[in-house]
Amino acid sequence: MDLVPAVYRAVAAVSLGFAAIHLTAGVAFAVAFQVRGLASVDPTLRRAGLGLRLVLLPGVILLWPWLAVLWRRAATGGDLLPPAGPSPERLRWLHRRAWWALLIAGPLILGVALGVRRPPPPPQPWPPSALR
Amino acid sequence: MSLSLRAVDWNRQKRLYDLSLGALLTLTLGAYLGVTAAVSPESTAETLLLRGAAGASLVLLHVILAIGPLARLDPRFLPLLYNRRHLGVTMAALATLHAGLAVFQFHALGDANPWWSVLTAYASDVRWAWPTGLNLAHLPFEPFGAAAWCVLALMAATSHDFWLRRLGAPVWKALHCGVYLAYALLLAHVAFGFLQSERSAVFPVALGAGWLGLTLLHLAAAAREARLDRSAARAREDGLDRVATCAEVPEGEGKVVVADGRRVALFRRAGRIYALANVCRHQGGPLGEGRIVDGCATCPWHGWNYRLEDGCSPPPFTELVSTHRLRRLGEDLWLDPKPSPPGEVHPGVPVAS
Repeated sequence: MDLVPAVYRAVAAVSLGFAAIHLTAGVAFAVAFQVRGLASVDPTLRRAGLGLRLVLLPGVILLWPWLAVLWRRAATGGDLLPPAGPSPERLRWLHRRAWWALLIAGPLILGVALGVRRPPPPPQPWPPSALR
Repeated sequence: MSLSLRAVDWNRQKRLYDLSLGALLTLTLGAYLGVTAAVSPESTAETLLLRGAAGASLVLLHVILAIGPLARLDPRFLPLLYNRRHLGVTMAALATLHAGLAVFQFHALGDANPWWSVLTAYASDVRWAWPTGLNLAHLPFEPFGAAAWCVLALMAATSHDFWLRRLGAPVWKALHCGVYLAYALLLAHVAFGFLQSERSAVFPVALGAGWLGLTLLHLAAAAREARLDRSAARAREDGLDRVATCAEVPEGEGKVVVADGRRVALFRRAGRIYALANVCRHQGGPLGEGRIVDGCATCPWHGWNYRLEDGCSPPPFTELVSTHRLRRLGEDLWLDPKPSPPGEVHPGVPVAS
């Protein structure tokens, strides 16, 4: 068995498995969070309408681990302030690094992809000779 | 600024923005479908829609990436920045349409799980080819698209102000820097997918031109920002940096100065000059590029207000930015780069009107 395809399939299996578990848990969490947790975490949303709850639903499903921590903090009277996060200077640094990476990656990706392109197959006569 | 959250905070500007976006998309998609149907009448409806959605979302992504540097280079592009999130969500929706049609057309209704098929349909082609390394001629392109879609979906899902409020502007902005990763993944998806079979030179040239245009815009904006960062303090004494002269701070408008690597916004109003942090609490907008409205420093991006004396938003809002100690010696303004404790009042230095 070729090693590279086997490793590739294994990585794909783990990724899909993780995604399935995460999304299933997220959907289950989202039901409880929409009913009780949203108002705990943000009291101004106690009477949030259906539209807002629907708009927030995808994010709740994806970020449920962090929201679970936030909900627990709210329940125990903990701090709900948002994390400090990177400084503006750090964000600019991140921005610059991201664009330097694209500066190199862009032509590399396009160049390699066009370089490995196989020539088009020769035009096939119609009808095929066997049918003439 | 808004205390309560709604699904969408509609106002006249947002409606106009979204109507324009809808009209442009309808025209673009309609034109593409019409031309392609005429040129390739054998194409099926789902193929046309699949390619149309892909093309439209890719073009929209280029527009989204261009807005940031354009707004830095010319304030006339700022109105495009105000509701850029709407463009992002629309782009993610088009990408979802493309992905859904592609999975249905090429991976569903078989004996393999469609999601497993997306990732592994061409797994056997992933081989180590000596001496060139990985056999790139058969690199599966679908996983690149799937990964890009995951990034775009996460960004679209967290585009509402609720997430901005809960995550805080710095974390939210760092998360949304993922758009650059999505762009690189989409370049790979198109380059190793569509461009492998499409022989017309138009498409690789267009993709390359898109990348080049975005690169030049970002380089120009970066050069402008670097010039500002290089205009550092002109002298330092007793922990204070000499950052500007009184004459350089215009009445009613902000001026951005740099002290100890930190950007600070100076404002002049009614014969006094004040110093606030340059970063708006909403989305990190450049406060110093705004103006004074109703006695408050107003962010040029979304209009958030902060009082000049203490950096607090006017009630009932509770956001605040830090203030900086400022001193005037002759015509020179000396600034303490260290921000004062939140809410500390600095009455501003008096200057001749």
